[in-house]
Amino acid sequence: MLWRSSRQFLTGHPAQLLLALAGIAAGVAVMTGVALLRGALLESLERVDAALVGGEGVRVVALAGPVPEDRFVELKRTPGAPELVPVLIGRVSVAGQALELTGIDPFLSRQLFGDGGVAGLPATLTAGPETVALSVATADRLNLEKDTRLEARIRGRNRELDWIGVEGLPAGMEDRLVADISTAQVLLDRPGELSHILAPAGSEAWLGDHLPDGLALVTADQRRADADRLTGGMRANLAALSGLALAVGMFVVFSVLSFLFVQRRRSFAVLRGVGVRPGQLSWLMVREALFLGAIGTLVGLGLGSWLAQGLMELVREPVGDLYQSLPARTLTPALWLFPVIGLFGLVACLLAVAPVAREAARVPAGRMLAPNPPVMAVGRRLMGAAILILAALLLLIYPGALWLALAGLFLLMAGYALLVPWLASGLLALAARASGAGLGMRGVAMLRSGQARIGPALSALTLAVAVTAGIGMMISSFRVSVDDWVTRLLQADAYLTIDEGQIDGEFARAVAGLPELEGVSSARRTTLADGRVLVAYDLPTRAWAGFDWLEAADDVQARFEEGRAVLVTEPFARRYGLALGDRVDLEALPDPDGLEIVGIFRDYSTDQGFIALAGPDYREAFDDPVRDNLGLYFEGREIPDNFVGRLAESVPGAGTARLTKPADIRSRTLAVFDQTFRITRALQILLGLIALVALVSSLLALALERARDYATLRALGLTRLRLAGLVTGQTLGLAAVSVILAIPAALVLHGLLTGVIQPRSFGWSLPMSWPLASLMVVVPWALAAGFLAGLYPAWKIARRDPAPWLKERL
Amino acid sequence: MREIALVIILTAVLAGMLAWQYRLPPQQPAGSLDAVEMIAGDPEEFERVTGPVPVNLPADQAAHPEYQHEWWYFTGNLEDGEGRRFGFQFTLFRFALPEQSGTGKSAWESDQVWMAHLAVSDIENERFYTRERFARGALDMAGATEETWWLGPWAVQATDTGWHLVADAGDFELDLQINPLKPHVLQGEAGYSRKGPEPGNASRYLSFTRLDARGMVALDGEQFDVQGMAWLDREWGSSALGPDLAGWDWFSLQFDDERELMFFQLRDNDGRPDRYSAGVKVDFHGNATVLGARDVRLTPLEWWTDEQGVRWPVKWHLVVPEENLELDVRAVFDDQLWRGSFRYWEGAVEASGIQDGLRFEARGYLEMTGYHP
Repeated sequence: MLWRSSRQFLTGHPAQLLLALAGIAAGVAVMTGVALLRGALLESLERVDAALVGGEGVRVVALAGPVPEDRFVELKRTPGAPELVPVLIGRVSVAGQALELTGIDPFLSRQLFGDGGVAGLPATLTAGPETVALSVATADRLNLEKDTRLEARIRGRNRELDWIGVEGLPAGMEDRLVADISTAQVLLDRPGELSHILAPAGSEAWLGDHLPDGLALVTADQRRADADRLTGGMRANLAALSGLALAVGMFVVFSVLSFLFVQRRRSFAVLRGVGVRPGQLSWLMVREALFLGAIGTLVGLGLGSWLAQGLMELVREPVGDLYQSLPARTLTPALWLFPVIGLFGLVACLLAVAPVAREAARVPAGRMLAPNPPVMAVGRRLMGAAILILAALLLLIYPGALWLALAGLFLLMAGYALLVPWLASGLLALAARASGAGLGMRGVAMLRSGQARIGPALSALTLAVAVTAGIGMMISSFRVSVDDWVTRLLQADAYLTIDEGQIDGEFARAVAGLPELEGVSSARRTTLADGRVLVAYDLPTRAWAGFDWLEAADDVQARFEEGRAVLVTEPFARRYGLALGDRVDLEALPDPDGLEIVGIFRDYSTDQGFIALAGPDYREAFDDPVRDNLGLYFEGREIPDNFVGRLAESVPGAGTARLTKPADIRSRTLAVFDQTFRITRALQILLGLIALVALVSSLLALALERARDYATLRALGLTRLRLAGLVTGQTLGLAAVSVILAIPAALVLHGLLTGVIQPRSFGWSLPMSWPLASLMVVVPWALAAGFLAGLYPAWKIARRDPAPWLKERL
Repeated sequence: MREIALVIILTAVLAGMLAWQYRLPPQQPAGSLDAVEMIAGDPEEFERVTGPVPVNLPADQAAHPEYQHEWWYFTGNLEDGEGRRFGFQFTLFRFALPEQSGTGKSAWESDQVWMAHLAVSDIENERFYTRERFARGALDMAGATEETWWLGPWAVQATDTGWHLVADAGDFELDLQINPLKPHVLQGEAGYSRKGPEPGNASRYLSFTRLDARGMVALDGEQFDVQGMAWLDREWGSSALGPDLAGWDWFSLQFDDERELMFFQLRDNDGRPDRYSAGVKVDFHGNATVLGARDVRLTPLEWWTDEQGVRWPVKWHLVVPEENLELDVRAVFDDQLWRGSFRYWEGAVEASGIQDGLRFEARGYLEMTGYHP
């Protein structure tokens, strides 16, 4: 009988049913999406190696920069050599999508092409000098049509390539253009270079004994540790956001379930009257929650998989920049992930239903009228909030791992959420006093008496507004810092790169000899075997103004130029726990004590940080004469007319030279910045939507509970339109209260994100600024949301016939 | 209970959707390389062997890249001091890809593909060790000069007396000094070995039929000092087989009275011997006599069936009527099947025979290709 009553009720209220499902599904979806993404970030990169040499493969990398191909041949011809696969990777873009070009020698990868591999791959890849292979699925994703050529943008040039779709390429090769190594070298303009060499598991010992100078081993474990470290900050932030999404999702479930309960108070009272025990009613609510939870969770898992795909699109490129290898789009999650998240969803539903089930058990037999639901006593509420906030402060102050700080932030927000209904009640009291004795007062009074019903929704909305605004402020202030930093950094009047060939010492000297120039700087970036990044600088005095020092020796420029001393970026110093005067070991520059750090400077280019070394030291130690770019300092601080033409004439090899102005680099840097934060913004919007759902459902609950009050107002002569206006005004008022309460929370959140989370997550500190515009931007949105959220309840209430409600009262 | 049914159905549907979305990539069937593909392209692009030309050693030990394919083929039977026996094979194959318009910008560009096959038959334990390696003919990763034939670290180096072969596959390894005991013999018509009716269906073919081999064999870390007899075939050309041919059975036998016999039987698609089957017999002094298709009769006696259901004849009766010579040739053990990029049977054999009433024993190698389920 109870089941039948539930079923009749639920099928009779499809809108509420859908709302509850949407709440659960949305929370679970965000969680699933983020969890899938986290897994994909770590695993996708591993799978490339596995596709080529099997699991747990070993990489041979150069101590700095690319591996020269003759080193590979040397290794390969050493007796006893294991299977060795040369790999050259580079970024290309096809139809606006970033892909990785993976050059391999298919003859040398038994895994890929031997027994059980892709038969005929060598013939495919060597079919022509501009032929690439890609999986059939990837070709479909790129909408490639048979018998057409593939248009790719590689190193700033458009190329047309022949392509062959291959069935059965291993999953690690998804979203990659697989090419013969010779093709890759030509297309990427990197003749003679390899990114790394792969060897199968178990070859560490042999490789360790036979490795030529300048090369180093990286095992699969080390790579995983690196990946963990590199993406740690990003993954922690994602985890925090998904936790928040689930919490907000729980609010939704709670408000919908309590709404559904309120609607059935009367029938519960009747059921109690005919002898149904209170426990049975609680159990009924729990069963309904589980039923809704099961369906919502399943939908959420499906939606989450789809969402993960979208999130992946957003983070692929930032991760690729960080990692120098682009993760595939395809997600292949671990099997345990779905049941675990599903369980999470169900448990969340049970937690959310617990207070409602308790309330259901208290419905007295036959009593139709609703007393106010229990409100948590103010004292208990304040005590709980105080405990949470105190714990949060302890976690935030404790100089520990990132996740401790995030947990602190979470507790702080939870504590504040407990305070919100109490504070809101205070604000409403003030508003009631201000609004005098009219309809407004009546509306405010109704809201105050419905506090228990709307409290959780109000907390959810306040938190969502605070988080959205707080994160927005953090991003804006971060953006300003990055802008200041890059503007200061770019001291040169123009930067020179060349499309073909390389800038070597002779080239640099020839450019420096041009009469228009006052000075020339150069930079060369390289990744060491252990993953640390090294940048070699040759800097004229003017360039030194570009450093924003956090700590520096008095004679930092002189010490650096003398050599045997390094500068490090702030993230580097933080990551390795280094301070001014400490020493850095570089394998290629053997020095028993290492090289002294004479300066630590602000840098936001990479959260891994890097070491800066004087150019002459670098070239001597690494035998690498190349510069990535030159900074040009002109006499008149402006690029003279026709300078490029004269450059091409007087400097051999400068035919493909390109000059980039600092302003262009600045705008490109900011574009990359914006791209990096796309994912955060996307999740912000999701949070806002979930909060809105919570608000709508709680207002509906309130409207229903207060139906008799509204009926009375109608009976007293209030028109439908004015009643609708009252209801909408109430929701608008609630939104306004939320916004007022969210502002201090947003400011605190911004302060903590900028001052505590950023340094712990990325290693850099940010000068604190308070971009109030980002805060204010949220206000109209929240108010508009409040207004819109009121429309549906207003329409429902206004259209109801007041007579039956009033009769019942008699 | 309809709700429960609904939940179950929904769960099933969603689980199905998820499973579909995350389905495992289809498993590629164990891919054997198509021999035809490796030597794809019109042989017209390559030089053809169309008639006898004087063979010039050692210059002709180097690669002939103008021909489509070529091999350096060592096989042999070895024995350690305690009489434990081993078979071995080391082959270097070269395939030329059709002419390509390389850009000349990458040192990896090459139209030559090299493949090495290394095998040891552990006769006592009936275990067949094989390893296959590939390389392109670029950056000195593989190649053949007069002095050295190599692929990666596997190499044959010419010495004053013969060759030094070193090949380590990790779990097994060969290190042998191999010296000729007899001069080489030219197969076919002064080295012009026809495989079909077209003049170009032919290869240049010569053999060192009796080589002393001694050195070391290692299996799973255990080393054996060994000595024994080896055989070297050198062959190059641009079209191995006539169009109707399905495969071949190739015998190399070294008699205990220091004579040798080689015979290859080409089979057509119906399994019948082809008229271009041929061989050679070499006497005690190294004098060679060519054998034609009609000089030798081969009859399979016993078969071994592999896991794919292919029946390989592992025991043969070989008769040379004109010589009054009869031999039973049997595999030292059945499973000496290569399961690499090419599927073929290549293994050590032993034989006992009778000629003019005198009994003799022989050891050698048998290669069989072109058998299908």
